Formats: sequence, C-alpha cells, structure tokens
Amino acid sequence: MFSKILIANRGEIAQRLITAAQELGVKTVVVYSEADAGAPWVLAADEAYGLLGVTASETYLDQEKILDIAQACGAEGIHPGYGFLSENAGFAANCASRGIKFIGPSVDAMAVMGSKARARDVAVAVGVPVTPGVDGAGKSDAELAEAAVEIGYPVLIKASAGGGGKGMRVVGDPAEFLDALQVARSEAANSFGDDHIILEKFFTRIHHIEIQVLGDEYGHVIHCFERECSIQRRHQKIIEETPSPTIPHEVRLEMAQAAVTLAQAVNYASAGTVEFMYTGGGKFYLLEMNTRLQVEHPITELVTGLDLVQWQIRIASGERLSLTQADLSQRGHAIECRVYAENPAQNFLPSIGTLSHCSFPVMPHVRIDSGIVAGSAVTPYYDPMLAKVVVWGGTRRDAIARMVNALKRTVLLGVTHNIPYLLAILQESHFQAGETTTHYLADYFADWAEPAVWDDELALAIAAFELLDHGMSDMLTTGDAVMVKPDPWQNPTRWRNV
Amino acid sequence: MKIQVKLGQENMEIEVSRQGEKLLVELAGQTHELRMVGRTNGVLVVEVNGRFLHLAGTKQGYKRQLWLNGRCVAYERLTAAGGDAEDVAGLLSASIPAVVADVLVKVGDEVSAGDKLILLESMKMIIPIEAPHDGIVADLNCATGDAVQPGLPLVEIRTAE
Repeated sequence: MFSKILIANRGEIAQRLITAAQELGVKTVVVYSEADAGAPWVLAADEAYGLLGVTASETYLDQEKILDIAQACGAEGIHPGYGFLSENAGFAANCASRGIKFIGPSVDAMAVMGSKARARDVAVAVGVPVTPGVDGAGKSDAELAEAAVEIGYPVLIKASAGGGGKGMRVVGDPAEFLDALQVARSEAANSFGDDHIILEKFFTRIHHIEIQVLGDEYGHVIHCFERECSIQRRHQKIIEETPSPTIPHEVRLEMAQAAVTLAQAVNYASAGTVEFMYTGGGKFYLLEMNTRLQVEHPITELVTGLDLVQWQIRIASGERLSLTQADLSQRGHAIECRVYAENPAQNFLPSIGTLSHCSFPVMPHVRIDSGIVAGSAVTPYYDPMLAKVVVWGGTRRDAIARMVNALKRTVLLGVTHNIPYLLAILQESHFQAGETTTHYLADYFADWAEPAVWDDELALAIAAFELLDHGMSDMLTTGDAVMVKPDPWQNPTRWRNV
Repeated sequence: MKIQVKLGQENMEIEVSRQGEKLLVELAGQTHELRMVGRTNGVLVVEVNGRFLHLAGTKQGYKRQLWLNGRCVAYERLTAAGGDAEDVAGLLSASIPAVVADVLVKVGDEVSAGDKLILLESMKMIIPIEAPHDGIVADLNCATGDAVQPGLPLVEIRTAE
C-alpha cells in the first residue's frame, strides 16, 4: 500500500478521496488554487500546497506544477478524481515517467477509450453493440439513401471529422434525405476541409444507463451493476439512481456482460464506467467508456456496499481484487441529486456568491458528499456543484421519499441553487412512475419557474426576519458565516472549546 | 410599522409591531403573536400560536433569501417610500455572474455618458459597464479580481449638481 498520495482535484471529490485514503491509513496531500485556500477539504488533508492562480489551467490542470509538488513531498501515487486531469492519458504517462503511480487505468486503456473511433473499433471487435451506422466514405448518394432505409428513420448525418454540431443533420423523412446529405457534406467540407460523413441511427427518447466496472492488474474484471442517469439538463446529469427503473433484469445482465467484455479487451485495471444508451425493447448501444471515477459513484456504493475509491487505491498499489461477481448484489435502491449553484428558471445560469448558511441533514441512510461550509465562496472559476445528496431506501418509493425529506432539510443560502427544481422533479408523477428518458426535463420542465406562493406562514416568516435586527448592516444573516476576517489569534470565543 | 416586499411580480404589505419579547403581526384582520424559541445551526425557531416556523435567512442589499420549513423563497424588501430599490438611477450592476477584469475609474472621476467604467469577464467574454449619463463616480463597490453577482451595485454615478 502507498504511504502517501497526492490528490489532484478539489471540492467534494477531493474530500471523498481524502476520506478513503485516511481509512486505508494513507497520508494525503492536496494542492489548491488561491480561490480554494482555507476550503474545508484543504484543511482535512495531511499536507497542502498552494498553486498560484485561480483558473483551472493555472492550477488543477498544470501538470508540471502538480508533478513537481508530488515529487518534492514524496507522494507515491496521484489520484486525479474526475474532470481536470482524470482522463488525460498524457498526464498518466508523465506520472509514470516521474516514478509516480497514476491511480487509474493504464495509459493504453485510457488512450484507446479516449478516442471514440478506436473505442468503437474495439467494441465491434469484441461484439459489444454500437449505434447502427454506415461509414459514408466511397459510397454514392443512392447507396447512402438505401442504407438510411436499412438503418431506419430518423437518421443522423454527421461529419466524420466533426464536433460542436457542425455538419450534423437529423433527417426524419426519406424525401428530405438527399437534400440533407448535400448540406451536411458541404458543411463538413467547409468546416473541417473533409466531406467524409457518417450515417447513424438517431434516437430521441433514450435512457442513459451505465455499468460500473472494477478491474485489477491481473486480468480480473467484475461489474457493480448499472446506474440510470437519464435526468439530464444541458447534457449533464442531475439525478442518478440504481437500480434502473427501466431495464428488465436480463437486459441488465447483458449490458453488464458487455461492459465487462469491453473492459477486459483493454486490460482495464481500476474503476471505470461503460455508458450505454438504452432504446427500449432490450436494445442498447455503447456511448463511451469513462476511464475514471464517476461523480455518481456513491449510489453504486450504497447498493453494493463497496468502497469504489478504496478499491481504486488498493488496485493501483498492486493489490488483487479479492471479490468475485457472485459476492455482489444490489440491495435496495439509491438515488443521488446533484445540488448546483445555478438558476433553473434562467437557463441554469450559474450563481456565484458567499454561502451565509450551509447545513445538511444528518439522518439514517442519507449521505452528503460536499466540499463547502458556511462562509465558502462559490466562484465562477470551477464547476458550480455544491454537494451531492445521496440516499438509500429499501424500495425506489422509499428512496424518493427520503430524498425529498433530505433536500427539504438542506439549508443553503447566499446563492441561488437547484434544490426547489430537484424537489419538483422528485414529486412529479412521470418521474415517480420511472419514466425517465434523457428527454424528460424537456418534456415536463421546459418552462419551469419556482412558484412564488404567498401564504400566512411566509408573511409571518418575513415579518420575523425583517424585524430581527432592524437597521443592522447590509450583510445581516441568521447564519454563522463570518463575513469579515478577524485576527485569527484574537478570537478567544472560537478557541475556547478546541 | 409596515413592511413592504415584492414576491415574484407582486407587492405585498405586512403590518408588524413589537411588544416586549413578542412580535405582533396583523394578517387579514387577525393578530398573530410571534415568539423566538431558539436557534440551532443558523436556523431560528419562531413559535406562532404553538406552531413552529423553522427559519433561516440572508440579506444582501434589498434582496432576501429565506429557507422556511423546507422551502426556499426569494423576495425583495421595498424601501419605506414604497419605491423599488432596483430602480435607483445611477446604481450599476452586473447582469450575469462575472469576475471584475478591470476597474477603469475611481471615486470622484467625472464621466460622460457611454464611458466604460468597469470591465467584467464572464464565460470568456469581456462585458463593459458604461456610464448611463454624465456625472461623477460617487461610489465603487468592487475591485479587479472580485467575483460579482447580478444585481449587486458595483458603481454609482451621480449627476453633477
């Protein structure tokens, strides 16, 4: 086992990694930007080193700075968390060249799965289903029109070299195919200098279902079942759950087997996630493999009892994965809600500011992963996720009820956040019935705005709050956040009970 | 005293007075007695005829945010004169969350309509705050590098007398 690791991340995931390492008796080193100085996860580490600057590229993405610190402090491994450097195969290679273990899969596995085309080739080679499609290279318009009928409408025409939506056309009507093909080809040629296009089946209402896998360095790979992450805004997940309310058990097993096969094909040795789209009727297709820890990993931990982060560290230190597939089962139901500092009624515009209040419920089967406290600043420099509220329940219905209660008892003031939006979703009938496609929010919450309900309770509360301290400063709050920095050595009340 | 607030698009008025330890609130002809019971973790517990209000709140300028028995409510306190605090002329603020990239003026500077006062950076764009009319910089509430919220006054331009 490592004696010391460096955590190249911030916020709630840095806190999560620190906890896992501490439980394994491993010392932790964090690096932090100027904006994160004094953050609770920084204070929780055994060692911490400041990085000059505030932007991601100046700090958490600066490989050289981070590697220099790791070497200077004697860290044997680096855990990248998610985001930032976590899927950067070049960084993993640089770690190796400095004699530091990258806590994640091999450089090769990351490089293959990091390329959509190469990942697709591997999937096809081992029989994992990919989206039905045809490569347009060297095919005539007539041949492609025929292929489109075979694939089945609607179809998506996209530039092979593409990205960012350019050269993409969705065609629902065969009569419009040839025109759309011309437009897509010329857009592709103009934008990317290459009119090479690809034809794919287009799906509108799909389920995003992903399989957690865990592999060691000795070729042993198991799956830890699925997570359904269909509730997405702007292609980002906000509510995840396991088991999926959608897929039949035999499909679950098929998907899990496909994920294990794919992971084995690249000798995957860490925690990883194989994402599929499920289109109903038992049919699923590979989206991509994420070669890192996922944000939503806690729900898998709650139903399987595993600690995925500990396993990542243990596997990276050379331990064998001692579990067999038969050791694992899904017990009960787990849900995660991502609490973001953003305004759902204003196109999810991020909200920044200082948290005057930050208190989370402490109750059975409720897990809070967060990296903030009262007084924390939410800055525009990083992802505005404040916390993950994760619950377990014996059934899906129990878990939903527990989540509603937990969110209602989460007090976050000082920024606008999405808790009212999350509560509205959890209490909406289609969500409760498990009808959760990636189109769900567009279908039922397109023009959602928090209703402003005037009632006696509110009027009384406003009267009490407004008279609390009549005429005090503009920063009046009922919270404990300290707005002015006092001299740290002249604050006896704060130290009295230490 | 009367408290006037704006909730959503509606202006509301509450009549409240203080009597020793109690607050008396008049709603639809009925008087409610409020008593402070306790405070834990920043959440106040206020009793009204045996019922508890669990209440936390924060205030920034005229903006208020409350957490009340599990729901979140945002409202604005209107000034005693009944005017909308938002409309005070010459108080300029960011329209979206941003970082102050540069402050181009200092208090006391004379400016003309259209002069750039502050440069904000958000989502990789530079957004200038310009003087709406001729005047003098009366107040500056930000510095380069500050993260600022929409609605908070950053600079005030007062018409020269």
